[in-house]
Amino acid sequence: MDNLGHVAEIAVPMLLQGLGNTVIISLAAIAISIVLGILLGLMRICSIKAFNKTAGIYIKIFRCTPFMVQVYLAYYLPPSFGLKIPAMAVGIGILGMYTAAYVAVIFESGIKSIGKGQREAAYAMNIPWFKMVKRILFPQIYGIILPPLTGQFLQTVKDSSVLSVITVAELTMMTNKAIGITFSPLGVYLCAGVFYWLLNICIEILSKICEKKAFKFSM
Amino acid sequence: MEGFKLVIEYMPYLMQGLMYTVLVSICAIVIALCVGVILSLLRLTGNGFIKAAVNVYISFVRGTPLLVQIFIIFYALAMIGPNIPAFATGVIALSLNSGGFMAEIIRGGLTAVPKGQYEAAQALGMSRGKMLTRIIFPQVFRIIIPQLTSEFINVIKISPMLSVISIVELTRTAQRLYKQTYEPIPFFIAIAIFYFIICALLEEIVKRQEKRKKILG
Amino acid sequence: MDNNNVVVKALGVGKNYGELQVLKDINIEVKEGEVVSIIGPSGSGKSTFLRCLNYLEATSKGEVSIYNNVLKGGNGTVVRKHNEKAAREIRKSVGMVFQQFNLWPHMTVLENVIETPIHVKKIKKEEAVKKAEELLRKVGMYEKRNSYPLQLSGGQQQRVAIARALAVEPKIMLFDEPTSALDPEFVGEVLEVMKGLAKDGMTMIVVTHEMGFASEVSDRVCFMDGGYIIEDDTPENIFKHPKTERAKQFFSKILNV
Repeated sequence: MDNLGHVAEIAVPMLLQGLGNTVIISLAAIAISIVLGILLGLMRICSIKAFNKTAGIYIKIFRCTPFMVQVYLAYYLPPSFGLKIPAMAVGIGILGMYTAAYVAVIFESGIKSIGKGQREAAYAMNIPWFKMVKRILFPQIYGIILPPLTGQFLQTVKDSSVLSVITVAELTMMTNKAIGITFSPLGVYLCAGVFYWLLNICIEILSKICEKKAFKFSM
Repeated sequence: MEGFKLVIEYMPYLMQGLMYTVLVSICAIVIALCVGVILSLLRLTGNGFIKAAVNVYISFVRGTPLLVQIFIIFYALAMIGPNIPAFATGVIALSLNSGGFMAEIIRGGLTAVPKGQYEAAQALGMSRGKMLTRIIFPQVFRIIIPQLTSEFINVIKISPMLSVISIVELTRTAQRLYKQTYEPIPFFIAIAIFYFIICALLEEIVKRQEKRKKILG
Repeated sequence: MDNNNVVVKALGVGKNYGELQVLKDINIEVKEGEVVSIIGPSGSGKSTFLRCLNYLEATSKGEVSIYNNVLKGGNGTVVRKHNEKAAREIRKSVGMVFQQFNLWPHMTVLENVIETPIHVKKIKKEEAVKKAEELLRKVGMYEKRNSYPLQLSGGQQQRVAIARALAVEPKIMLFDEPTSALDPEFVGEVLEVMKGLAKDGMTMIVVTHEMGFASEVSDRVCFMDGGYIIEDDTPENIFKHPKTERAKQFFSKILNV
């Protein structure tokens, strides 16, 4: 029992530090994915074929290859061009780009769930495309895409653990480090698992609050 | 071009890794389906305690990173017995994870079976267990076939994580070749293409299955 | 008609979707203040033709001209660029009412009506609201101005949609089967509003299945079938003395039901 207290004394601060980094990485990646995902989603629905195709290829590549392989490529590619990027930045970037492919699909299907007629009404009244997207489509899809988006962002937090393989000091990496010192893997991993779990529950609660605030216009 | 030559040179190793990945994934998805069915049955027929335990299990599996789960299983199995083969460890890790997701897929399928089907079975005097295994589940499987294929894609995409516990599947093979040749890019691009081809093909199959489901209703 | 200005002109308009030829050769002229009803069996291309007039659909051949803004047939980049520019001009003077209303469900009735005046025509909000309230009174929807569309009946939604189209002060109104999606008890209230518009001298092109409205309100009725306008005459002549066999069959079917 004395041993357990000793392990906790060493491991918990390290895990908390990792948890902090995981939160930062996830938030940054989510921010990137929203911007990039919306852009890709808009490219998917717009009528210009080249945009449409490019976005389609991007989405297909990122969705049809394992995230871990993408992480390795993102880590090894820049140095081969003589670029030195810190692992943390690489991690945030690739996690954001990867998540963006999923956000784009959620966004696209959200827009497609809104009848074509509403867009036509806007065109018939000379409302420009961009304004139509901003004032007619966006306010409506907010409520529709929030639940799948939450699911995706929960996944993003979990995916961030993969960044440990390129030495990003997030929760999983710090867990491994703590185990290297304490030599009690099971307990420390279980503790890390609980941390991730709690983080997920926090995001879920946050999303429930957003959902309640989402504009309700139907009966 | 240099890189291309390297990939060709080490192709047999990559192929071996690919085979390993495919085999692990197939075994894992089959067992995951069993795990999913058992979890669903427990949730449908068990008492309050069992139901709660199943829900906690599913929530934990879905709420924590696979990487952490893999480490936990790796060390837990090592405590049970040191001689468990790496292949088995990999299959167990993937299927325990995927089984949790499978249970949720089955739950979705269950709600898609019309209520009348349950009522008809009950009216004919079937026991609850019989009704589930003989009437309801066969229908559920027809409904969830596309999701099962999607989950298979997912298992293939998460299988690289097994590389962290030294299981020599495709990604670990690429790492090894990198360590041997000091050339990471060609190998990782090569395996990315492998994964892409498999997943893109399977995605086409999912699309067909969904179309067929729509036609059959 | 004391005025002989032709404001809408279609010349040899054709439209295909791949192999399918929906419109083959449509020729029509509409004068200012005229009310023209387009009738015909479903699938005859009526709605498609109407949607070609404000470029919701691009035509494959022929020419549409509205207030001297010309939409050309074809699908080349140059043609498309030209058409998009012309369409912007045309849409300034052409309002449209849809079968499915197509109100924006996240905006109140009033917000639906003021959206375009404020954000496209850049009119001040107070002014737009004043104008919108006036229009809503006209269609009998003033009391419901703060409701959301999905809280309203079909007939009420369609009346709001008419007010929304009128808010840009169009000179021509296109109606695409405005009563087809309505329960029978709500058809009357929408037709009343349309009659009022016709009386005020609005130029109207109405695709409809309401033969009563077509014969009572319109100056001319066009009978479309198979991608052509095969009869174009006064309501009196069309309904009492149809010239073609197809029209006779069509009328005998719908009038005997």
